[in-house]
Amino acid sequence: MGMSRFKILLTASLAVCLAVGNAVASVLVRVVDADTGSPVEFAAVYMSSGPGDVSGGYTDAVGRLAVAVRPGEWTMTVSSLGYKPHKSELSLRGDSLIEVMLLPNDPLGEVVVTATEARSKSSTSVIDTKAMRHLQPSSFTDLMSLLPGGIVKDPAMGSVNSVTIRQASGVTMSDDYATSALGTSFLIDGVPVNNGSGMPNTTDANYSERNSAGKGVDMRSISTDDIEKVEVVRGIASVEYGEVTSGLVNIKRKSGVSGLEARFKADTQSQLFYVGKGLRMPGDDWTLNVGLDYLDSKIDPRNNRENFKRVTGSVRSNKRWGGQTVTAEWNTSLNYTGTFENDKNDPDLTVNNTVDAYANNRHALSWNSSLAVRPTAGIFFRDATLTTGVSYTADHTRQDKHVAPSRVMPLPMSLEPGSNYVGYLPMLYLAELDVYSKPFTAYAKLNFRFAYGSSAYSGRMKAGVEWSMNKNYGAGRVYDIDRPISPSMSTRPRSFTDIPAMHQMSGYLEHSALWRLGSHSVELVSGVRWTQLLHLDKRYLLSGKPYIDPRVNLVWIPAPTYIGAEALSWELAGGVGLHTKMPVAAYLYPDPYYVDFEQLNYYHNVEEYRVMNVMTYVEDLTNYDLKPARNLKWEVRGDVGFKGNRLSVTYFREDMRDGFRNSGMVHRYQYRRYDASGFDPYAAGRAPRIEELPYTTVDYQAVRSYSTNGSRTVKEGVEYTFQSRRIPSVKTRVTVSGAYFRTVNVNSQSLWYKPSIIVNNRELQYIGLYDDNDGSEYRSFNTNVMFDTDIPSLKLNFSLTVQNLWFTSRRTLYRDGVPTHFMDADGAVHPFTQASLADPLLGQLVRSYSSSAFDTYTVPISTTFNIKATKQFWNDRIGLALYVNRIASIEPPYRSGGVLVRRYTSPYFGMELNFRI
Amino acid sequence: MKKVNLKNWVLLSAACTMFAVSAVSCDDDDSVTYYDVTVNDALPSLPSAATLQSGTLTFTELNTGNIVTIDLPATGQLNIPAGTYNIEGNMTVKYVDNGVDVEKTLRTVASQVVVSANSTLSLDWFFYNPDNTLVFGEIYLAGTLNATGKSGLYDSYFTIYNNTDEVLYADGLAICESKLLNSQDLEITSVDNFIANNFTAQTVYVIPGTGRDVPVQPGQSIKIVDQAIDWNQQVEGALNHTDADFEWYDEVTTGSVRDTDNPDVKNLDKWYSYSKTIWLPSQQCNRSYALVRFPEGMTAERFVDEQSCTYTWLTAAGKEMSNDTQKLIKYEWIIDGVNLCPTEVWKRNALSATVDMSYKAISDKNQDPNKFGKKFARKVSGTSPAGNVILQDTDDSANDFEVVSAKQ
Repeated sequence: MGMSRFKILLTASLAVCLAVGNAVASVLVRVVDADTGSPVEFAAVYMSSGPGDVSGGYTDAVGRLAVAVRPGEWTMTVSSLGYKPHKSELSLRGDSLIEVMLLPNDPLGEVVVTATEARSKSSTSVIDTKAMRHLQPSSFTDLMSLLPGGIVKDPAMGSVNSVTIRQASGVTMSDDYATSALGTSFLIDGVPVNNGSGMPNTTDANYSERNSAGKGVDMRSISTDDIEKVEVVRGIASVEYGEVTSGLVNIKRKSGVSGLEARFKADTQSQLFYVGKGLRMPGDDWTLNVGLDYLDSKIDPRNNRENFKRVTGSVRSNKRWGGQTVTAEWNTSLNYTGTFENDKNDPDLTVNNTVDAYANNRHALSWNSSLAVRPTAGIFFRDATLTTGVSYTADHTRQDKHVAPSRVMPLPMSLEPGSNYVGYLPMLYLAELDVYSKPFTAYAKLNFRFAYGSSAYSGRMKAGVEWSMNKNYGAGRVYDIDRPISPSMSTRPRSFTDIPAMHQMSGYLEHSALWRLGSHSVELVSGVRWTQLLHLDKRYLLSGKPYIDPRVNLVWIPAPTYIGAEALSWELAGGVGLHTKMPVAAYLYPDPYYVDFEQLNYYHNVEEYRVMNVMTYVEDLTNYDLKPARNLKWEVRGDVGFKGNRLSVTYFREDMRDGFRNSGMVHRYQYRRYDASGFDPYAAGRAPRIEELPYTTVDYQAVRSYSTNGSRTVKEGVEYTFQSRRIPSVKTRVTVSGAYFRTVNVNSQSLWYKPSIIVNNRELQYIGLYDDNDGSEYRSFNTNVMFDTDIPSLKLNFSLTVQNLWFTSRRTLYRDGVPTHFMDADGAVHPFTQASLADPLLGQLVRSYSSSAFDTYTVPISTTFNIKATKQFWNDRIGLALYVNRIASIEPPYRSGGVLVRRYTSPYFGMELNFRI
Repeated sequence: MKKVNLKNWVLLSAACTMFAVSAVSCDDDDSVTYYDVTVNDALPSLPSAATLQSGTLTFTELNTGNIVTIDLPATGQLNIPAGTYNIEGNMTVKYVDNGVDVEKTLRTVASQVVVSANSTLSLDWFFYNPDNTLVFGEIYLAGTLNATGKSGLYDSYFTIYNNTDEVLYADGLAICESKLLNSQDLEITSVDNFIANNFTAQTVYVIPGTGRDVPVQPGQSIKIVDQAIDWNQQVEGALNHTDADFEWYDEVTTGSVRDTDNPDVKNLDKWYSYSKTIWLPSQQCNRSYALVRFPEGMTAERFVDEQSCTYTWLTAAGKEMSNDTQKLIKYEWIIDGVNLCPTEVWKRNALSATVDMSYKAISDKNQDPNKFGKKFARKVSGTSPAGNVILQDTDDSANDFEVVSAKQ
C-alpha cells in the first residue's frame, strides 16, 4: 500500500480559478498531509515570479495561508519539517484556492523508532506511536529513556516515578531539590495534570517514597497506549504554557478511525493488556475513540503481597463542523485512571501471625473538552480555542500496623496547646490509619490566534487567558490519636478540607515575526506570561502579586550551501526565558506541628501515683513569605542537515535560585520543670499535681523546618542527536544521541542548624547559621548508539542500542563548617569570631569534615547492549515484539579510594503480542 | 608509650614441651609440617633493666584445638606445626623503680596467627593489673522479647560489683559505650581514635555524687537500668527494675517525650551523648563498655572540651567519612571494660587488649533469637578471706563471663 502512494506523484496540486481579471490575485493556499489528509501547520510557502518578486509566509493551524500577488506566472515551493519539499508552477489569473498535499519524508514503512529532535523554536523531542511500539513501554516513565541523556531503567513500580529533565544521572533524590520534578507540566490533550492539592499521606518513613505530594506527576499512572504523539519541550517553552520551570510534556492522544487494536505485554515484573478502537460515528465528521488498559505489576516477582495495578480507560470524541464562514472542531474526552498499590507483610514471618498492610486506591475521573472555531476567510483573526477540564480524584490510603514499643513510651497526643496531662502507650497495639484525599480540579483556557503580514514579513500572534483551581475535599488523615502509627509523631489528624481552594490565573501574549531576507529567514518569537494566585490570604507575600515571565526564541535559517547537487541546510537558534512555578498546597498550607516539652515526668512504682505533664505547643509552620520558584533558562542550538542525515546540538544553562526546600528557622519556647522530689505520694494518697510543686522555668530554642525558597539548582549541558538516513544496502539507520549534564544542587540561603550535642544533661544551647552547609555537583556524560534495521519485505524491525554511560561523578561542594553567626540562649544573634572559635562550647558549633569529604567520586564507563525486535504477520494483523535490556554489558571494575568496586547487572526482558483487526 | 624491642630477650626453643605434638610424633601422621618461628617481643618501657622471672606462652590451634605450651624463659628456636593459632602469654618481670624492687605481670595476646612457613612473629607485651576493684558484674542488653515477639525490650541493666573486701564508692564512675562496632573493621584514619591510643566513646553517663555518696559493700553490687519500671507488668516474663539504684533518664528536649523518670530511683548524670534523644544500648551486643574513673577535678564541661576529637574512617568503598559525636577516654582511666560481639560477625575489639584481651559473644549467630532474655554474668572464681564472693577478673572477657538467663 505504501508503494501506491509512491506512485502518486510528489505533487498533487490543484489550482482552481475562481475569478479572472483583478490586478491583485488573492490566493489561499491549503497544505495537507498526503497520508492522513490532516492540515500541516507552519509549512513555509515561498512564491517567486522573477528576481525580487517574491511572496509567501507560513500556514496557520488549519494549514492555510492567504497571500495577495500580481496575477501571472509563479513558482511555488512549499516545505515543512518531516515532509518532502513540494514545487509547482502556477499560472494565476485571479483569486485562487490552491491545495498542496505534502508527502511525509518517511512514508509508511520508513519507521523512526526513537525520539526525534523537532525542528521547532525551542529544543523539543518528539516521540510518536512507532517509537512507542518499538520501545514496548509499560508506563510513561519508559519513554523518558528516549530523550537525549536518557538511560533505560528497569520499572520501579513500588515508588513514585518523578520526571527528571536535563539532569545528570545519579543525582540523589531529595525533597529539598524536588522542584525540578514538580516544575514539569504534563498536558494531556491540552489540559494540564494538576496535582497541586495533593498532600502527604502516611507519616510512616517506610512509605515516604510512595508519597507523591510535592514531587510532580507520577508517571506510573500514565498509560502510553492511547498516545499518538508526545512532545517534550526541554528548552524555552512558549508563553502559552505555565508551570514549566523544568519542561513541558505535551501528550496528544489518538483520534480518528482505526481498527480494533489489542496489546498484551509481559515482562519480568508485570503484565499489561490494552484494547482500543477508533469508530466512525453517524454524520460526516464525527469519530469516537475508546481505549482500555490494565497493568498488573509486582515489585518483586517472588512476592505477590506487594504490587501495583493500573486501570485506565477513556472515550474520546472528535467532531467537526464546516460552515460557510466558520468551521469548528470539538474534542472531548471522558477519562478514568485507577491505581492500586498494595504492600503486606508475610504473616508466617511474624510470631503472632499479624498482618501489617499498606494499600492505596486511587480513582481519578476527568472530563476534558476543547472547542476550536475558525473563520474560513483568511483575515487577521485566525482561530479561537476554548479548552476546559474538570477532574475529581478519590484517593484512599489505608495502613494497618502492629506497633510494639520496646520501651514504656509516654503518649503526648494532646490536641490543645498549653499544659496537658498525658498517658502512656500500650506495649502492643494495632494502629489504623486512613487518609482520604479528594482533589477536585477545574481548568479553563481561552486562546486566540492572529496573523498578518506581507511577502517579506509575516507576523503571528497568540493571546490567551488561563485559569485553574484545585481544592481537596478529602477527610484527610483519620486515626485514633491514642494509637499512632509512629509513636513520636509531630502531626495529628488533619482534614484536607481545611486547606483553602487554590486559584491560579494567567494571561499571555506572544508575537512571532518572520522575516524573509532573500533565501534566509529569521524568526523571532517573543512573549510574556503573567501568573498570579487568586483569593490567597493577605498574609502571604504572594497575595495579589503577579509574576511576569518574558521568553524569547530566535531562529535563523541561512540559505543552504550546496555540495554538488546536494543541499547542506543549516539552522541556528537560541532562546532565553523565565519560568515560574507557583508553590503547591503542601508548601503553602503545611500540617500544624505539635511539640511537647516534659514538665513533670513521674513514673512511680505505684501505678496510681504516676503522672506525666507536658507543655504542648501547636505551631503553624506556614511560611507566608514563600515565593514561586523561578528558573532562568537559556540555550543555543545548531542544526545541520545533509542528504537526509541530521545533526542537532544544543547547549543550555538553567539557573533556579529559589527552588522549594525545607529550611530551619529558630523557635523559642518556655516551659516549666516541676520538682516532685519533696512530694510524698503515700502521705497524699495520690499523684502530685503541678500546681503544688516548685518549678524552674526553662527557655529553649529549637530549629523547625519551613518551606522556603532556599534551594538553588543549576543545570548545564550539551544535548546532541544525530540521525542518519536509512542506509539502503543494509536497511539500517544509525541514531546517536546523548548528553553531557552538569547539575549543581546547593542552598541559596543561609541555614540555621543546631548540632545534636548533649553537654551535661542539656542540649547545646547555641545555634549556628551556616552559609554553606549543603551542596553537591553531579556530572554525567552518555552516548546511546542505536542501529535499527527495517526490512519491509519481512515486516521485521530490529534494533540494537549500545548505551554508553561514559562516566558519572559526584562531588560535595567545599564547606568550612564554621558558622557565620550564632544565636545564644537568649535569642540574640552574634557574629562567629575567632574568640567564639576558642570558646569550648561555642567551638562545638564548628562542623568538621574529613580530608576527602570534598573529593570527586567518579564511576567510569558502563556499556550495555539492549535489543528490540518487532515483526508483523498476516497483513499486519498480528505483531510480535520482544526486548532484552542489558543482554550484555561491559562494566569494568574500578577503584574508589583504594577499594576495588565490581559491578554486576542482570538482563531485563519482556515481550508482547499486538492485534490489529 | 615507648616500646623497647628486646629481640631474643626471651629465648624460645623447640625443646620446649609440646603436649599435642609429642603425642602424634611417632604415628604415621606425616602430613604435619613444622616451621621455625622466631619471636620478637615488644615490651612496655620500664624504668630500669628488668629480669624475667617466669612465664608461659600458649599456642591454641583453632581447627584442631591442639595446644602447644612453651615455658619461659626458653632457649633456641621455636618449632611449630602448621596451623592457625590464637596465642596468649604471661610473664612476671622484676625491676627497680626509684630504688624499690617491683614485680609486675606482663601479658600478650594475638589472634588468628597463621603459621604456614618459617616466619617471624611479633608479640606486644603489656602490663596486666588485675586489681580487684569495682567491676561490671552483669550486663544485660539483649532484652526480653517484646509483645510482638520480634525484638527485645529495653529492660537492660548493668551491675557494678565490689570485688574487694573493703567498701568502695561508685559515685564519679562513668559507664561508657564504644563508638566502634566490634562487628566492623573499617580503617580508622584519625590517630587519636586508633584502638591502641584511646577508647572512643559515644555515651558517658556518670554516677552522681561527691565521691563518698554511693558506697558499694564488699561482695555487693549496684544496679543501673534504662527505665526503672516493673517490666513484668508491661510484658509478662520481663524483669522488675523497681529496685534499681540508678536509671539513665533522657529528658528529650527536642519536642517529643520518649523516656520515663521514676521518682524513687536516682538518675545518672549525662555528661555526653551522641544522641539528641535517648540512649539505647546495643541490643545486638556488638559494642564495648567501659567503667571509667576520671582524674580528680574532671567536670562535664572540661571533659567535653578536652576530650573532643574528629573521628575519621574509610568506608568499604574507600570514602573517608568523619564524625564529631564521640569523645576520647584515656585507657589509664578505665578500671574495667568488656568487648561484646556475636562470634559470627566479630571483626575486632573496640577496647584494647590491655583492658580486655578477648570478647564475649551473646551467641554464635548474629541476630540469634535465642539471645533474648540472656545476660552476661561474671563467673565466680572463689571466696575471699573475709568470706566475700570473688568474681573472675582476668581482663579476658571470653573466660571471665558466661551467658546465662537473666531471670532470677
